[in-house]
Amino acid sequence: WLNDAIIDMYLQMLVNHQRAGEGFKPNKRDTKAPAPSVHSFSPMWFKTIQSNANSIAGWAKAVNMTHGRILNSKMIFLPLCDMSHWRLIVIKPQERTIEYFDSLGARGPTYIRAAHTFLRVVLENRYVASEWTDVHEQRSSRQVNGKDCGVFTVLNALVQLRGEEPNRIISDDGMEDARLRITVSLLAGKLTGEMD
Amino acid sequence: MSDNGSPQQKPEEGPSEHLNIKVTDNNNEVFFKIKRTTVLKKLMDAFCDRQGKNISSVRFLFDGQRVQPDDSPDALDMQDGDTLEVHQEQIGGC
Repeated sequence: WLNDAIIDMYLQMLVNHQRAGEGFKPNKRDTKAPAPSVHSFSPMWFKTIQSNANSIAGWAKAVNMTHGRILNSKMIFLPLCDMSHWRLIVIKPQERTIEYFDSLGARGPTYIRAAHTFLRVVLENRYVASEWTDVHEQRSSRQVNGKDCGVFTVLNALVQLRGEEPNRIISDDGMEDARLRITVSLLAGKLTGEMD
Repeated sequence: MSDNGSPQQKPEEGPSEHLNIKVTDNNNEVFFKIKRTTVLKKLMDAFCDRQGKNISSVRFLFDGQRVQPDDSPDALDMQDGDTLEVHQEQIGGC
């Protein structure tokens, strides 16, 4: 099992690696700065959408995603844990798609709806529901036990960043190789070959 | 931001040394007045003490991003009246 600190930290490392490759430097003080091309929001976004949705606007403002600038981003990760199960929403704003990855194979209409609420709060009057396509096919590889969903969640993000198909993730019981790689990278404070 | 037009406050002096920070877990709100250079660990510990929470089981977020105990308001570019959100740890596997 994985907790939110591991999921969040590893996803931050993935997006930071991608941004560094593109020469992007976050600049909170420059309110005119462009939105990051890739970003991962805290796993706490889901509970926040349910309890205090408007505060998400502040989250988006801090990463230059308000005033419609989120639409320039290529890929946004919204990891979430609900009922002890890690899942991943991937929004591709340029393509206007929302896709839900679940290694137990569920369709997740609740979570896709929450992602729409997220976009509505961030985009305000620029949110046009009909522009957005929900991907209904569940493309995630499946976990083969009751403990690997966190690993699949971050691997689904990784293959999306690499522009690969979700079935690139090969399931095994325990996902030990992936867990070891994640651990090594977290301890190193940077990726150790995942994006090479 | 409000402009109180106070003659003693010269803009060159920059922000005042102290600021008020609200810490909330959506049920409880606690207000702290701290120096801009004070590490937020003090405030996180105080909030957890007061609410009877274990610090390792909660996460503090500022503008949606995780706050580390050795961050200070200055380091995070916090303004007077800003809010720290407190969230419960999440664990999942099945």
